[in-house]
Amino acid sequence: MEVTDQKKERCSVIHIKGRLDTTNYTVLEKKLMELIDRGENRLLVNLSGMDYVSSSGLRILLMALKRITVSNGKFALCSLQENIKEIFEISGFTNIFEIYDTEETAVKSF
Amino acid sequence: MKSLAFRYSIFFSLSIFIIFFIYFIITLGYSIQLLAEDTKKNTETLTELTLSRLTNALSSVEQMPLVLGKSLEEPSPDYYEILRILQGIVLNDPYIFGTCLAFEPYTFQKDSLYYAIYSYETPKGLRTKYLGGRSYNYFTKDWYRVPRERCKPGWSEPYYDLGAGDTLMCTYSVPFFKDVKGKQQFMGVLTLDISLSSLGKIVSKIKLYKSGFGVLISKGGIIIYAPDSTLINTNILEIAKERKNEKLEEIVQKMMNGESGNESFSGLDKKKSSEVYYSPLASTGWSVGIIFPVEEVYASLLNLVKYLLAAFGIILGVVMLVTILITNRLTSPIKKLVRLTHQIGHGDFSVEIPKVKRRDEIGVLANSFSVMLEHLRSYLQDLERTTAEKKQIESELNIAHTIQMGMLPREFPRRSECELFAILDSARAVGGDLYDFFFIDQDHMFISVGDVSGKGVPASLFMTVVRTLYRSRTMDGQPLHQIMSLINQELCKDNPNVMFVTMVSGIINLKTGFIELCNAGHNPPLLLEKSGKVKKIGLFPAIPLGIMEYHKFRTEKVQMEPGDRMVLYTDGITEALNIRGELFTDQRFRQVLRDKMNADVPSLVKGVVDSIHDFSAGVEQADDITLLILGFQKTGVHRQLPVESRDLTVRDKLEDLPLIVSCVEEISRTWNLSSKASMEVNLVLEELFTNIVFYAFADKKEHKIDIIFELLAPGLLQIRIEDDGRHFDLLEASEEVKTDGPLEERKIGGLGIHFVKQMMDGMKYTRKGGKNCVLLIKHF
Repeated sequence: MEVTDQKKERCSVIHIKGRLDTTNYTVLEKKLMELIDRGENRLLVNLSGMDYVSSSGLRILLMALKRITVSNGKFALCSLQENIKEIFEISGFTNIFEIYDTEETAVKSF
Repeated sequence: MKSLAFRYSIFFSLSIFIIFFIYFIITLGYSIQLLAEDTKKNTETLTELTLSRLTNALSSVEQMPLVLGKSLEEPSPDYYEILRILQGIVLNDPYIFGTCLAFEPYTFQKDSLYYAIYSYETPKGLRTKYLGGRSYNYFTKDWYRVPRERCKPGWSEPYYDLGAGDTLMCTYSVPFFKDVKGKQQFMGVLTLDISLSSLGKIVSKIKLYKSGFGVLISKGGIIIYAPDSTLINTNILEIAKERKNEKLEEIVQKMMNGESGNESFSGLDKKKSSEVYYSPLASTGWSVGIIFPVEEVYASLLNLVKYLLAAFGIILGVVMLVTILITNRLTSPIKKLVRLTHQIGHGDFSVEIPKVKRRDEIGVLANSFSVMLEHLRSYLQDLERTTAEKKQIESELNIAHTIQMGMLPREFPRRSECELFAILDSARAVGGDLYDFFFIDQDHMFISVGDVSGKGVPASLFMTVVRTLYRSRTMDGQPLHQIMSLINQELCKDNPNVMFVTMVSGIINLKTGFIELCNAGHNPPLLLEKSGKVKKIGLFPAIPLGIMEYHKFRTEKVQMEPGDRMVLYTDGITEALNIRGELFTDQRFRQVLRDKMNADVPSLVKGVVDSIHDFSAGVEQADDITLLILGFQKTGVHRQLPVESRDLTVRDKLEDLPLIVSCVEEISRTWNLSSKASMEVNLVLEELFTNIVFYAFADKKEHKIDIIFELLAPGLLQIRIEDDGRHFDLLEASEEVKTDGPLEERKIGGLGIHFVKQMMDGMKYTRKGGKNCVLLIKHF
């Protein structure tokens, strides 16, 4: 799994590529915490490349969301794959996260 | 019907009759009295008249001889002159028909013994003859002898003098004297004869009533005149004695005595009741009697009575007729009304009350009747209409009921794998419940129980639409949640009244006992397990079909074990009321299920419904009661050898996760899992594996975890995860996750099991032989 981030005008975009599971979630965790600690509280996670996520991964995203929300920032997701959408729905995360279809629309929202 | 007309006419007639009768009697009495008086007067008058006539007739006779007698008593009377005068009298007087001058022996002529000159009338004229001789010794005759003896004039009794005149006659004899030496010496007798027949004429003039007549009798009782000429010159007294007519005797006697009066007697021959009025003729001592039959007096009265009666009869008849007519006129409207009333009574309301022009009570009655009839008609129309409407409503309810009942499948399946039975006990006002079941294919059965909002025909029709939808969609082979979504969308369109239906639907695989359920706003189904535990199946609060167009529906997956029963029902059960207003409630329902669980499914269903009826006895059922129970009893599905299987053993280390991933990848390829299914399997296994790794083992030893993948049937995957850790039902491990909770409430943990439950079609934990065994079923 690869995690890349890209700083943009309005926000920072993080790309996740590959599986996000219990074996590698810490990678994402580290990255996100880094960014947040740096003061980046406008984060967009682009999940177009994530083809699998388990509860561990979701937990990390949730954590990030909580932290950013507390600091009055914005944390959004975009470009979810179909299967991932289902997972988010089942878990009810669709109610919690701001999810956008495309990165463009997501970025505009910042 | 006792006719008024008749009654009144009788009444009036009777009254008139009585009045008239009284008047009649009075008048009659009065009339009779008057008549009697009248008769008396008339008769008396007539008698007097007759008497005076007779007297007149007689007096002329009486006077002449008296005058002449005087001249006879002169010293030398001129006898021839006297005779001539007498003859003149005879000729002139209608009554006198003969005269005689008879001398004492040797008086007229010294040598003649007899000397009597008799002149009398004949039709040829006057005839004179000399009487006397041996054949006719007039000295002995009464007409000579009596006046000589009495020395005064007098009348003789009637007699038939054959010698002179040959008629019945009466003689008035006047003795005359000569004065010789101072003594009146009897010289002779002057006589005048009266023909009694001429006298009789006077009496014969007596006519009274019809047959009243007069009689003249002499002092001696000889009938001088009677209309019956055979009686003339008979002695009536003798006759009366002969005929033993005492009354007549009496009367005759009185007459002879010169009395006057009137008597009633029974007539000469005792046949007719008669009256006789008699009065004496003073000069002669005769008596005139007037006799008339009493009945003739009253004959006119009788006639009068007859006329009166006839008139009365006619009047009575007329009165009756008039009364009848008048009363009929009065009552004919009433009779008409009576007739019309009969017609109306027979149900014919088309009758018309004729307008009555009269202003009196009858008119008012008729018109009121008319008004009443109008009201009655309109009332009946209203009644008809209301009844029709009511019937219509009832028929609509009947139609609704028919529709509802028509939709219920009739025959319950006879399959060894399952026992299905259902009852729909509809309330009077069709509540819109429905149950349904049908075979999708050989192994899959669709069951459902639903409740449409509203009542009556619209609800029933709505239910039909729903039924058509899920039947057609199911046959397409679509998954249940999608079927429900599609139905929902269809119902949301063109639903201006926002009718909706709550529904539980399910598809069961009869080979495996695996059932997928979807709840759209309905009572959550209950699973009556073989052990007697009753479990509610319902984690998703879902909304009914037909409300929100793009609502997503979730399904609940349950693995039924042989002996388990799935209970689908409507709120007609839990909300049944009893007399005290208590609800049946969910608890009682569960208790009843538990109590009767040992019965077979049909008995169980019936038993539950019976207990509800017992509970709500006396209260009218307000809503439909629907109960469908599906019992799964196939054994051996689990024993069935899987078609294919893969075994994987990993250590209780997270690093071994990729092994699982690749195994899943492989079976996905081999057994044709969709990417989605594959991902779900992965996710689930990861979650469970993680939990086992973290929680199943208390020691630090290395443990093995077995994962067995079995393809039980095409599209049916079974995964078994077995570990030898401590008793750990990882399915119960976590509390329920609130997936709709706000951010703050979301806990970090617990999501894993949630995924398992959502993504797997069945999951079960068992502990056997010191091993935890988790069984997962996935349809794909």
